[in-house]
Amino acid sequence: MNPAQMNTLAKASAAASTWREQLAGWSYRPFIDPINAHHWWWALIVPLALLTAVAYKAVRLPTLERYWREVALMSVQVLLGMAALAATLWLLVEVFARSFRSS
Amino acid sequence: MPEGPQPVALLLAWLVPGLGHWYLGMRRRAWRIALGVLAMFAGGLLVGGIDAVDSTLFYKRMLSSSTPPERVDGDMVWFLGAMFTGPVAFGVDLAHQYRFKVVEDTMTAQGVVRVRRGAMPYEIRDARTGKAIEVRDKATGAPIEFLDPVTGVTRLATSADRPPNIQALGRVREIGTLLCTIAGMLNLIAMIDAGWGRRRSYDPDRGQSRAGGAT
Repeated sequence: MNPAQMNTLAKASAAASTWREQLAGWSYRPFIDPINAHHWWWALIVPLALLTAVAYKAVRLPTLERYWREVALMSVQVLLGMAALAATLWLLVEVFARSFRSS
Repeated sequence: MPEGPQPVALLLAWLVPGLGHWYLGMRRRAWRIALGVLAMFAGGLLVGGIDAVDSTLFYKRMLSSSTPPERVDGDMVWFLGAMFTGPVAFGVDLAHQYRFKVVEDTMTAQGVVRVRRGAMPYEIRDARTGKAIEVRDKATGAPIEFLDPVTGVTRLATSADRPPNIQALGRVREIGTLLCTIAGMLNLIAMIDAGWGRRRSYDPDRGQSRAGGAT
């Protein structure tokens, strides 16, 4: 990296730092601003699966006697399915695609 | 228990999630549908902010095909799903379009087109005209002097001068939009069940059904 590039990078870093400070000074307004979930966004799949099961099973089940049990079961099935899908795609990209490229 | 298509139940199910089933006497189901759909919609707003519901040019596109293609952006397709949550989705979207977005006149091949866009972090919104006012340096975020539209006095921006909403980015935006859209899709299933689903016989909430639920 040459001095000019380093200078540009330093300026950009300083500007980003100022913006970060600015944004941190603004309070969160529920339902208006997004939450800062960039590092744990994947955990939001849990309420997504749960609430999907709550509404879907309320329509789908012939009787509501085993409703909450069915909701829990469907939530777990969705989460396990997503985890399996993620693992499969990880294998496809990180293992098979890389080995294909290197061969 | 009424048999055959139920247009009133269908309409009620769209107006308020669960109300169609309530009307048909399935009150326990109604509460659960309302809980699932509305909590998911509210969750989408909580995660992605008001930006999660955005019908950008949806109405204009529906009414006229002359909208320049370069202006058809935003989350219009996702709104096609979210709108089945009912009037609440349209209300949130209208508030987003007319209370949070800023107005901008842009030159296109068809002439000057007035568009609405999300405010940038360095802008505030003039409540009277809806136009954006720059109050910070774009590169550094440092406050700059601007003409206050309320007092008419030129002053330096403070931390209270902020955009009407922060636009969600990346995965947070995706999840917020997805939650609102899935809420609408789930309510569509509930609407179909209330309007055309095979009717459960007497006291359907207690499990004495002959016909079973929608399949």
